[in-house]
Amino acid sequence: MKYIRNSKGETLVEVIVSLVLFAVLLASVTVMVQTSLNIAERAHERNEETSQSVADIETGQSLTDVDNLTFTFSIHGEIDKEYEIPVVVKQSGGLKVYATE
Amino acid sequence: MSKTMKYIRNNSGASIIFVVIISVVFLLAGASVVTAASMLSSTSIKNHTNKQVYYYAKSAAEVVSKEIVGDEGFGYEIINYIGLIGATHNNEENNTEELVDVPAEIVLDCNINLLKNSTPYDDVEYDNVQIKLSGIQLIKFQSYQHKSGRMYDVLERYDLEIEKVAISFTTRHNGEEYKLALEYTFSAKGERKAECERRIDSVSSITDLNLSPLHSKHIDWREFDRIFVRVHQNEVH
Repeated sequence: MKYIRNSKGETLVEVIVSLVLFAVLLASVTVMVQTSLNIAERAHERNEETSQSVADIETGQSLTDVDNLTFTFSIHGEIDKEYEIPVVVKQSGGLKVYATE
Repeated sequence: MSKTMKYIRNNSGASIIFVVIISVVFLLAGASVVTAASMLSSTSIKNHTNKQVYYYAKSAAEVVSKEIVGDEGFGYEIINYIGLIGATHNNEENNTEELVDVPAEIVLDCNINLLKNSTPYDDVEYDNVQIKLSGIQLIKFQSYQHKSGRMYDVLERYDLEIEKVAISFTTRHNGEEYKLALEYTFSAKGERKAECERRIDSVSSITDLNLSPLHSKHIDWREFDRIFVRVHQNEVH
């Protein structure tokens, strides 16, 4: 009889431990899924932004000047010549293009 | 009694085993979701990087293309290199037509750099820049006209054809690289008149009166895109 009572106690403890483990696991998986959803949403937004930037660049709209650079083109050998061409960097979203002024 | 004990023993640990099984299933599902999200994220980043390296390549191609047809740009240097500019005849021959001896192919190594306040702009790099000219033909026509005393005029007309001007380079950005080749046909027709003065055995005071601008075939960017795709497969032509 003693043995049977002890066993009943163990089962209760096991159930409690199981519930705790399950709760911890559920919390972990919830965090994982939530994080994944956030990552997926950011990826989706990035794709949308890239597509919008490509459309802006192709149409030449909504481009912002962000930098002034010098494009150097040098030819070596018998034609020993270097060209320095000022260019303006334009940006739409995260994409940059540059062109002569 | 022993049957009861067995029964109880069988029950003990069952809930934990069940939870462990559920845990493994949930963890696998969670890991799959995280992996899928990470792949989605890396794909979107790679897509963005690919687009950026494409636009850096296209920007460089556009700048070089404009530079080719500039008044004293690269095209002018090609003609200078071939020997046309400053090569006014002084042999007083009239109405001559000459097929000038030029190399059939010229390969030139080049560099492209982007500088910001004289320091390299580290967002993009260009290398393996090469220009290859092939199928070059230059015909010169000359007529001579005596004016008075030692003075005479030389009228030159030239007809230059370069079957193919191929510019190839590699663009690098954030670990991605893009090989790009542009091909142009190139032609220049024009004339110039030089006023010359003959001294004992030389010609001096040559003054170029007219040097027509160069003409280049306009780039069709649809063609550019086609080349771009081909080059992406590492088939640079």
